[in-house]
Amino acid sequence: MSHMMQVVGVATQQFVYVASRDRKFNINEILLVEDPVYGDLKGEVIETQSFNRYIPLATERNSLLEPRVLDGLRQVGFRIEDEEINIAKVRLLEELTAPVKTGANVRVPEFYEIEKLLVSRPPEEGLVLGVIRGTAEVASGMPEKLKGIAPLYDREHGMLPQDGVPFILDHWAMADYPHIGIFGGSGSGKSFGMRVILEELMRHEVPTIVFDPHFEMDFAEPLEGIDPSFREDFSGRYVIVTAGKDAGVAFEELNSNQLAGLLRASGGVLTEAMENAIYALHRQGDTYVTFYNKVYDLIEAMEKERALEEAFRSQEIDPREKERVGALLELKQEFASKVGNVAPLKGIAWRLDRIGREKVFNYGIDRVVDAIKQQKLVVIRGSSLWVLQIFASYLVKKMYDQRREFRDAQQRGEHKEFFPPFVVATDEAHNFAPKNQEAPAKSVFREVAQEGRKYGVFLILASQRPALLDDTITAQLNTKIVFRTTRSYDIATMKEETDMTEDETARLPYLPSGVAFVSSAMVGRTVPVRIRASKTQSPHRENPFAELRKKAEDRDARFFRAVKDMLPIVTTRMDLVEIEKRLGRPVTEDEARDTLSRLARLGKLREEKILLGYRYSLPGRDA
Amino acid sequence: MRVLVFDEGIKVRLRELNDRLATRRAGRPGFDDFRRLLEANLGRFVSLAPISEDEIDSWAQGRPVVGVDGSVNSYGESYPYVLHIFQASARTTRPLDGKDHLTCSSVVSPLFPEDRRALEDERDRLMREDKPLELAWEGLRHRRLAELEVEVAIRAVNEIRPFLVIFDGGFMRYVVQAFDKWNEYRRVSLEQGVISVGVIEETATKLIAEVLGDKLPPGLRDEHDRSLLFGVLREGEALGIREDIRFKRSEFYTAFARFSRHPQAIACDFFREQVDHVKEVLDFLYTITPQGGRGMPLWLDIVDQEVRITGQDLEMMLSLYLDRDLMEMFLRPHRDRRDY
Repeated sequence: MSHMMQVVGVATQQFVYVASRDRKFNINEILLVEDPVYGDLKGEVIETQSFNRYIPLATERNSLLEPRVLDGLRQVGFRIEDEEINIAKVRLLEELTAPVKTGANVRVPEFYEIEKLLVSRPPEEGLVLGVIRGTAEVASGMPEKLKGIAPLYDREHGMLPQDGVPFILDHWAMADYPHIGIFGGSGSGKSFGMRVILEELMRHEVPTIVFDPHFEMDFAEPLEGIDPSFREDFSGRYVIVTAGKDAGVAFEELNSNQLAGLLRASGGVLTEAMENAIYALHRQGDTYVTFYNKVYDLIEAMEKERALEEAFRSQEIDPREKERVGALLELKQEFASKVGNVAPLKGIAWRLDRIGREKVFNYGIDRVVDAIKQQKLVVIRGSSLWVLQIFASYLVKKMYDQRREFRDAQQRGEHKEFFPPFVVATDEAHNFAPKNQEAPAKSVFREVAQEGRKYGVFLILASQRPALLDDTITAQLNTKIVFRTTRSYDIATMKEETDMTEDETARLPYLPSGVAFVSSAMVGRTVPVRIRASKTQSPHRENPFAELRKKAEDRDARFFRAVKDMLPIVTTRMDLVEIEKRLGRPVTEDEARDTLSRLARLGKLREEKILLGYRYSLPGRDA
Repeated sequence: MRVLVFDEGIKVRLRELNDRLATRRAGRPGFDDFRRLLEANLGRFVSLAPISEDEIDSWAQGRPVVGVDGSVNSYGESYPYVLHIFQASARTTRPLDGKDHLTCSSVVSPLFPEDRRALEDERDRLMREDKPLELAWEGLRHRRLAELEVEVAIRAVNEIRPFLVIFDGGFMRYVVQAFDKWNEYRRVSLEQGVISVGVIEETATKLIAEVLGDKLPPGLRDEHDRSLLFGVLREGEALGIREDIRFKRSEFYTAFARFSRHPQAIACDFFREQVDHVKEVLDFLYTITPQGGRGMPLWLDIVDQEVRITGQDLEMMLSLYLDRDLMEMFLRPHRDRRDY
């Protein structure tokens, strides 16, 4: 039976109310309003309500209906509960010049009628990110190739079937509408959304660099409880590279500006004197060692000036030592006046030491470049956020320049080795490019945000604090995926930076985990999406408390295995030496006694009180 | 905010009215005396009891209850640019094939030649009967509405075959306004074993005064049933009229009852052939009447709510099917364009 739905009440050019007696409305579903003037108009349900006119709020005049009255009517077939009226507020997806006709008929569209609106790219060519909310009913009419490609997941039920039209992000359209932002608080499903996007990028073999400040971007572990048919092996499609271990900054390629940036990142603000000293001392082509020595030598020369001069004049000095002292004095001669005093030099030295310990300068970026050229995804880690930031600033700049040079050469018709377009993704983007604050990678992120489109370099930036992200960059993110957001500042930023309506932003604090609004210039409207199940999961998803319990159980089980054939054990006569031997670690008498009594509590052992102690044996067996 | 303009004369006159009403009340016999008088001359008081679900079940045999009501809406101020929309609805408690009601409607306007003729016929009839012509439209209106209600009730009996049809109002109206159709209804419903009851909220009849005659104090001999019975019945009590008493103005069997805490009695009309069912019908109506309400069975309120067309609904319907410019030119009352 088809349901009767009608435009009721006040209608405007943008909004209408639709009522139905027998059909409940789903938030975000798309309906067709059959307007006699405009023809079929598409609209999206943005608010739903139900009420029962026969069960009014009890007031002085409307007393509540006694159960007797309702029972009496029910017995002759009338169920007052069924007298519900459902009302939906519907936003029209096209702006009209005059309001819709009140009373106009409304119906659920067939899939083909709204296909263009919902699916902009076939799944084999776009990023299948999830399911468009509110499309369960129309999805029954969609072609097979759109079915079963975006199963869902929740912690309680595990994998769930795809319950609507898939949301396919047309990443090809990034050529016109570059860069993606992913925003949401902790637990909103933001990291999980990032994971799904990265899986899709791997599927399409899009070269991608991912900075991984949380050590969570590994794709080796399949999602727990995944349906085997949905499983995908990503090995060979990504590599994990750690700054300071198998990749690093080539110091000799840095210019003084970049070096200052790195030193700033490693230890906070640089004084003007320190910056002057860097510019004075550093020459492009310096290696870490030559620059490091230059700084330390100059400190020595300035601190021990008199002693050095004396030594230089002395007759007894070894000729080789004299050469060294002479060099120091020359150094002093050249730089002392520019540097002023040793304090800024010491500040620089301390920072150089700090970076040096991280071995940031020890390796090149060959591994990263190779993987990118093979169209892989490269996960980049660092021992700390600042190391990652330093490396990011260097790496992205370097790769971006190579890509740009290739493209420019191509434009000029010159031959140059191919360097592929690529995507740069990171979580905690507000740390890499903070608003109103300096950070090593900020300028290059800005450059890519503003110019990257021309060269095919795109950003995917995730952050839980969009309000803290550099606004020049935020403004360039043409697609924003917004998960649950509770801070008013962040909501205000989203309001300003997206085409989300008042109603939608009002829903932001209440979005369930894994549900996001996708506001994209590509689509031209905000689409509510439930992100699909990821195929893989982050390696450390175990609950810390579960971890504790498991640890304790493991310990008890090992202990039990070790002492099993020593039973029965009497606490006053325990062979601790034997237990230690069997466990391969020292065991105190207290620990042994506690563990035995805990095993008894768990029912693994039988405990009997005996004179001055306890006797433990296997349960069910007589002593 | 506005300041109430209230002439002093109105106050004076209203006070006089109040005095008159008070005198009328003062002449009423006491509660017990009056009940004795009614019992001696009219009938007997019967306690009603809510009936259990099982009883309803065994009685109804799975057949539903149908409520019948009608409404009329008018639009336009100046003849012939007026139209009247009649709608009658029979709503069943148990939907049949997903449909929970039957409706009949009629749209009447002197702009339709046939309606104009009907109106003129009515006028001619009134002239012959030497009645005021202003009643022409009123008469037509009452007749159309009653006819539609009976028509939809006949359909309900045939298509739904309920065990009970509840009319919103007494039977006499149908006899007077829709004589032929009403006889048809009576015949088919009795044939099908469908019980009918007409629930009268505003008992503007004088049946009781008529029977009691000079047994009533002189001031009350012309009193309406409504005011005579006010506060006389106890909650959940009915006054069953003795069968041998026939009212002059009604061929039907009538019982009075008080279904809620509100002291006003309502009246219920039955076909005399179905007098045996009066008690159980009253019990059922008592069951489905909210105690805190005004004493009308809930089902009638639900039917009324459904059939009633509000001014806003009407405007909407008109704007949907009539061209805006035509509507503005011919129909919209100018007073509707008031700003306040």
